Amino acid sequence: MTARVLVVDDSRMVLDLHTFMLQSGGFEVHQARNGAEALERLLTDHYDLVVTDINMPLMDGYELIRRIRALPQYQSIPILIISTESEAQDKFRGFEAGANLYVVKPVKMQDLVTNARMLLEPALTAPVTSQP
Amino acid sequence: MSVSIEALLRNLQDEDETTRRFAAEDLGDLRVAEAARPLAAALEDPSAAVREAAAAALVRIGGSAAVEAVLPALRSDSAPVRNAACTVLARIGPEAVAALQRLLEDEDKDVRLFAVDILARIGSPAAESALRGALEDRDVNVAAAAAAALGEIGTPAAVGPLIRALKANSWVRCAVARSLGQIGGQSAVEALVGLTQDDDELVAFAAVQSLAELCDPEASRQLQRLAAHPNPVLAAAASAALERVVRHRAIDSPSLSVGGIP
Repeated sequence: MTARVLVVDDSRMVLDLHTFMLQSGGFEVHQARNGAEALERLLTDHYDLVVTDINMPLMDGYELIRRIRALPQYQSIPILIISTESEAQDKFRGFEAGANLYVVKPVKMQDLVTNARMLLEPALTAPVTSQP
Repeated sequence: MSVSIEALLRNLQDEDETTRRFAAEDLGDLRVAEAARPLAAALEDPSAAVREAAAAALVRIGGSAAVEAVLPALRSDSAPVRNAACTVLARIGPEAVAALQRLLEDEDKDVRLFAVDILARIGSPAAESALRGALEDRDVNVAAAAAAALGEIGTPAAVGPLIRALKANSWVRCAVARSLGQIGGQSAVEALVGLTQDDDELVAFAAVQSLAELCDPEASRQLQRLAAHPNPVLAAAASAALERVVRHRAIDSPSLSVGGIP
């Protein structure tokens, strides 16, 4: 079954280019222009991966990720940040919010597709459970 | 009852939120230039109402006092503070352009990116001129943001500088392609037709999207070629663009056959 990806970015251009890259990699891609729209989509449909920007109006990517993680059905969904912010503190904040991977823009098509496939490998993103 | 400027500045530090908010509002109403720095500091106030009042006051004060007071907030670690600073500078408008142009030379690429975003929101002729210079920025995200901003402003005079920026990396070429589609015109269409042959599929896709918007029949041959591209996503985008061009042409010239492609 084709994996469903939700791409979130306030830039129409970035949204379309990331969508093109992921569709070319064989994913089913849906778009959201901001955090609120992304949450609405996540609540009405099922997604396997979220690819999000950080600097967005109304709700930034960090807050979006925290809210996604608070949803029981998305506690372990892989989340990839793609941001122009390249400082270590930005990456730290992203991981702290609950992202699985942080990539600095611009991202190459092959890299994005490879990262998306990697994140969708269950063994790499499933929550660690204690052994009996 | 009149309250002195000194008292208002003191009230801006008061423990009571309402007192701080009223002080910010009064300082803005009185357009007290010397209050610009304390008001800029109030952009970090714990109260949202005080932050909003301080931002509005800074816009009212305007001029170099407010601009220079707000600039350091663009380097804040807090995203809401940075966003507030961007909004204040954008609302101050043309008076902020000279300082923003100076920021385009800043060592920090994030600061240069903020400057580009604010200049785009101002959109005045001077802001547009500064953005043309930023097309040559050494950071790809800054150059791409400048290209995107010029497309949003949409002045035909930007087409030449945008075409010259096509030598840059593929991400910038994508932004240029999109902006050329927003501005339009003969030179833009010719450049976009050329970009459909770009080695990078991403750039070709961006060009196809823009040509779909412009609906120029000159693009038909290249779109037809791309409709057979091995990447099915690019091929589908080219087919959709071609359909749109043909449909648009049929509307313009009803005597032409919709199925016929020149």
